[in-house]
Amino acid sequence: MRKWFSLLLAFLMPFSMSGCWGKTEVEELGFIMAMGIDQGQSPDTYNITYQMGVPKKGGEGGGRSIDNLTLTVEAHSMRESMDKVYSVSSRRPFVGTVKVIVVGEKLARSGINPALDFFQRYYEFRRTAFLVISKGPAGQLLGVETRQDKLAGLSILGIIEQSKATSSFPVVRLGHYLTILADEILAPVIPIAYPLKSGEAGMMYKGKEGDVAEEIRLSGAGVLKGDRLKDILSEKETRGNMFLQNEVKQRFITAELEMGGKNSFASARILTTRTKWKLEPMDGKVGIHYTITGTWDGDELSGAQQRLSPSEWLNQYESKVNEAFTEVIQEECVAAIQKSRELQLDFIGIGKHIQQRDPRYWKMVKDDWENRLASFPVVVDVNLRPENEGTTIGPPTNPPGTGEE
Amino acid sequence: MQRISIHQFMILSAAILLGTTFMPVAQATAQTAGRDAWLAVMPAYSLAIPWGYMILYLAKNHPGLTLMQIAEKLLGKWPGKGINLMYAGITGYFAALLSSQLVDLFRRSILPLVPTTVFAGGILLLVVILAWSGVEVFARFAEIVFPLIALGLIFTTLFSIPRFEWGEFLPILENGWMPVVWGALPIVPFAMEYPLFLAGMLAFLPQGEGPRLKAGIWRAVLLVGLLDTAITLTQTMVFGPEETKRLNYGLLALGKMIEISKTIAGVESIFMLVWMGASTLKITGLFLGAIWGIEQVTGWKRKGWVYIGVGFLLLGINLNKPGGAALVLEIAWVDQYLILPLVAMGVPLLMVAEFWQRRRQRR
Repeated sequence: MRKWFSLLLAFLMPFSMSGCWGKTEVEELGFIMAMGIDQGQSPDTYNITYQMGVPKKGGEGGGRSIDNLTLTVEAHSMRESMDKVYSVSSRRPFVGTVKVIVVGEKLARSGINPALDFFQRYYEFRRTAFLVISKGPAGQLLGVETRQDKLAGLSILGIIEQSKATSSFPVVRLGHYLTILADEILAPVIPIAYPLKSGEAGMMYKGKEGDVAEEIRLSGAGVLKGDRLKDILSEKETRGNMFLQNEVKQRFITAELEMGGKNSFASARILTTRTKWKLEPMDGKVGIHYTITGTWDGDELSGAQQRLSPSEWLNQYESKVNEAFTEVIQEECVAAIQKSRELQLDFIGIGKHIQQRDPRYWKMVKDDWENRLASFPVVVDVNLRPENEGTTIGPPTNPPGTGEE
Repeated sequence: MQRISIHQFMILSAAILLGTTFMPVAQATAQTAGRDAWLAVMPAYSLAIPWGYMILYLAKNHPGLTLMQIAEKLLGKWPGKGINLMYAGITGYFAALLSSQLVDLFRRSILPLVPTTVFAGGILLLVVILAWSGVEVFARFAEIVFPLIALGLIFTTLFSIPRFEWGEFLPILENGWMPVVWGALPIVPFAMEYPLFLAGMLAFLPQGEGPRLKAGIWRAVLLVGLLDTAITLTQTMVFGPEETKRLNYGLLALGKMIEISKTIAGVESIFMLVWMGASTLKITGLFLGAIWGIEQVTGWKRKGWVYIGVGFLLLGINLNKPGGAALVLEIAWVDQYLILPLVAMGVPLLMVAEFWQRRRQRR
């Protein structure tokens, strides 16, 4: 019996040696880095942009050796669009490598859930892909051939990955959006990406094709009601929101100074920051008290030229600079709160905090929360502390007595 | 008769209890318990302890016998055979369903084009070989594979921390304990699957080691309860309660989200091999249960063709099963309406019969 069984096994084993069914060699795959979704020209269709980066054969290393294969197809569904891509691509489009999903502003205003079902359902996608809304069509944004990375998708990915340093827009992954969407309280926010031409947003660069955007900028965030884009937050409101949600890792900050005359300002890096909150009685009602703490490293001080001793810096400047930075953050937070009240959308998550800390009270107010939000007491305290003033105490000054000081 | 050590008993118990329960546990409990789903896991698993202790009590009074043999002794030959036939049928059918689930897991995640026959045939071949090799070899296999499964789950939990949506598990017990109690009910059968295997394993346990065997059971329950609690909490923290309800096999989605630095991602295919090990252990345990049941009913002892025949029968069932939600629901149905009543009522029934017989003997 054992002999026959062993023979049977020996017969069956070779069948497993041919490997996986339907395997595709790496060279045959088209790695899609980014996808864009817009409303199509025909009713009930999408324009879906696929951005594939194919290494140039025999090319030099780095981003410049990547061929930009960007293709937009009109289709009723995501799957139908892939069907069309198959019909023109010599490589099998592989979406497991999609890192960025760009949703066009127009589509975002009409609702993005139907378009995102495919990304949630199809097993190849990862919920870690980043989600952005493009100002204008997504296809146009992904069509920007950026000067450094060539592929718009790679540029967006790079900007997102470096965003910790500036915290000027929220980082939103597909999985995060889907989690927030299922939540009945928190309104989702998604960062906004813009094609940036030379001269726009105070940035100049030498492009090769005249009046064509060759850079991409991420700044601010779109606020959604359910899955529909309701409004776009300014950079100030976005930063305030990020502070209140404890999402600021580090950032740069610039504040005008009252002393030192006209055009006097200080700049710093916020090195560490943390936001805590607690519910407390305010004027006989429940309110929320945010406390933001942080430390900064001074980077720049501009104003009247004045030679400073260490004690002069400490006594005359440091606390004033600290107050100015505090005021900037305070204003950003207030701007975010005002916007939330104006839109009647709780993108800051105040309701979520109430639900977590005082579920009974939340049950009483949740049905009318959008209206109550406008008058819900919110207090923001900012407590910054200087870590150091940089490598020098005072600014560069002309020699005294020369009449140039 | 082969004997297994206390350590092997504990590992085998944990492996059979765990099986692939980490796949559906969060979704099953979150349906009713919502964000408190993780609180429902341990109480549900703890039910395996009294049932395990009852079986050990019966084994102590009938040393060297399986629960099937004890059933025939206590309930009479034909009622006992009836229960044993039911036991063999349910256990075998459940093994076939779990093998379908494993195929479904592979096809929906990393190998969608590989034919079902190859997966199902390969797995059931492995199961038949393991079962034929005997409980001692099976126990050694479990000793190697189970730590990898536990480590795989711990690894998944730890590396999911960067994806945590802090606060998703709050507020705790927002709606009191009742949702937790109702949330625990769908997974109580997970705990009741363990006695199906323990019933036959009794004959292979060391004699006179009652207290140590009891310790083995509660340790296994604690270990598995903690692992499934961790996975449920992790899914709630990463996906939120609503997404946890919606996601089929959320653990697979978790595996796809793991990124270590920029270079290591897509480790889910490595995990799939570990989950395959977990499934193989459970299916083999149930396959052995079905074989022991058949042997007890028919009197055929260790016939190779019975093993192969049952293997082909399971393959036949497997190939005719759909995947996806239909399969999940069928497994849940067998769990709740076949396994739960059989074990939850069968073991206490034997206890009552045991007490009644002892009382009659004393008179």
